[in-house]
Amino acid sequence: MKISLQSWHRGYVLLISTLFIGAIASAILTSVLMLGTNSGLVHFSVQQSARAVAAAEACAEIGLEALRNNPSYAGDETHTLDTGVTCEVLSIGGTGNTNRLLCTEGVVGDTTRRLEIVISSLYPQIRISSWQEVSTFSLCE
Amino acid sequence: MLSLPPNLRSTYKEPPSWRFFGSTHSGTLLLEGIVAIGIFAIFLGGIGVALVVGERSTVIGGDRGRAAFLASEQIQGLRRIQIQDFDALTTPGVYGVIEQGSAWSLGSTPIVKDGFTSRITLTNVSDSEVSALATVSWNFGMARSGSVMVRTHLTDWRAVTTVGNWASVSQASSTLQSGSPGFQEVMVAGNYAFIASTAGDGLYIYDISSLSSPVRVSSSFSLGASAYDLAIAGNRLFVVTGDTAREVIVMDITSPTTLSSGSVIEEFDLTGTAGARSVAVYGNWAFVGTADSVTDPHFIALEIDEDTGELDLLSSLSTSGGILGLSLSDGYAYAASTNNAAEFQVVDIIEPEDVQYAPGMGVDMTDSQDAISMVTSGTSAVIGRGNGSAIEEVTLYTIGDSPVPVTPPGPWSIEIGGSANALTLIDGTKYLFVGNDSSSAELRVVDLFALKNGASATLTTANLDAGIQGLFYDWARDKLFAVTASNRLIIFSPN
Repeated sequence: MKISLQSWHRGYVLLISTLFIGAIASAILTSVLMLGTNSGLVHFSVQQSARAVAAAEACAEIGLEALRNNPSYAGDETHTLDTGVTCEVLSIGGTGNTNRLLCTEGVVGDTTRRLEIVISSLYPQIRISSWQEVSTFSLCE
Repeated sequence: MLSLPPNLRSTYKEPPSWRFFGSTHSGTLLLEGIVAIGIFAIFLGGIGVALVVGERSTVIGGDRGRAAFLASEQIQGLRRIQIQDFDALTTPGVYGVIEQGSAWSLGSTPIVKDGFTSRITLTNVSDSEVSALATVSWNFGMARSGSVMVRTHLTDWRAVTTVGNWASVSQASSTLQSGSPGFQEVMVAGNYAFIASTAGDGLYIYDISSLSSPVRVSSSFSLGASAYDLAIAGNRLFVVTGDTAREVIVMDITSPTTLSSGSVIEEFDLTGTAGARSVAVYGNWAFVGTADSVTDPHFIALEIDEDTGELDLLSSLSTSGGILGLSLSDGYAYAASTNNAAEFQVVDIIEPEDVQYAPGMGVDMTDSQDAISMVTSGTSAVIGRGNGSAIEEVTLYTIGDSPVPVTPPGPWSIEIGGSANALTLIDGTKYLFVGNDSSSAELRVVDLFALKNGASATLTTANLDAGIQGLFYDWARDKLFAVTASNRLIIFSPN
């Protein structure tokens, strides 16, 4: 009788096994799909990030050139490089020829990259003592 | 159907469920198996599709990521070219940036690498600014195509500004201001020269677009106070005055041609009644020196509100003696003081909310003439003093090893023959300009290197109709701006 009862439950065992495997398969399926989707998002972010840092560097170039032409250049201006791509030169720190601060940020969609540049002197040639990317500004407010 | 032994057949009753599954639906197990296998196959297929879709998404994302990397690489290549020769970027067109070992150059055709085509499009924004668009495209079929574009700007900010030969000078212009305003100090920002004066309108502004004929602007504006010194930070002008109710005035100079009372951002009243004499600005801090006073502080640190330009008192220091000249360098304020025991003073401003003397305080210079001007550059500090027969009025100290000069080496001094009212220099060069009230050499150009070497240091002099009160060297133009006691704005050029 015991053996007979087991044979009657074979269908259940198979069904439960199938459901169990199916659940695992569903999880794998979801994971793989999400991995693919996330991979796309990550690489999109990489692209946006590259564009944002190029924008921040563009404003650094613009700011440095403006300072070279006019040491009293105040900064605090925004430039639109392309549709949806902007960069900002924050207020320039310091006065005169030495110890100037230039901070810029590039913005593309939700992605922002920031640069802090310490200029040791403007003339006769601009000398940079520090050029670094930062997550938040510490030298410029 | 179950087969029971005969002795149990009378007592055994089949459970209803057994009957249902076993008796009336034979073959159900096979059906279940088939259904299960079918479902399993669907899941398996789903996994397969997911794997393919996921892998494809990853590959497509990878294409985009690699394209972004290649575009960034093209931009970085451009920057290398920019460092070598900015002019190489000033011809508009479509190029490819070629890497040749450690060198980069512009090729006439786009670069193709592993199916990715990279091109740089250059357009001129101005003579010294180029817009660069890096485009990387690919097409591997089956929806694996696209492009990535990265734009930046490149400028000629590394260009070396040439400095003329200041061993001889000439006057580009000499502009007389009527009304005896008592010119004191001059600063230049953009196309405008701002002059502080102790009488008349207090603040005079000249349009210097034409160096040969400066034109006064905003002539209807009057500061209503005696102004002694100026500082400019961005679009804000800081004027220190003798008005004991508003020693520091902050003005918006966004539009210098239309200055009015509405341009005044802040009128700050310092403690006491000494009146302000000198000012220097760094970042969001303004440092003010006052005239001598027995009871009031002489060195005041103020915080500048970044958004409004309004001022707040941070801290102050009583220095025993007025501060007539200020220069900031590397976290220290160098003060020209009237203190006969320490004409050269150094204040630690690393923490503006708690300014204090640097260790050693300063230097007690020979005799008792007041220090009236100060300029710093790199490891050098130059102080100017009132005329005295027993002293040389201009002295150079080194401040590289210690903020308060430790001698030897130095100091090195030069006789001026008058009070050294104003000092300025060209950073990184040998040139020091001394504005003074001597009888025939009101402008003296000094060779700092020669001064240190004990050689004859005066390069040239200029004889003016009155002593120089203020000096400003304009790097962008390579011109020297001077204001005189005869109320002239004189612009000097190198020869």
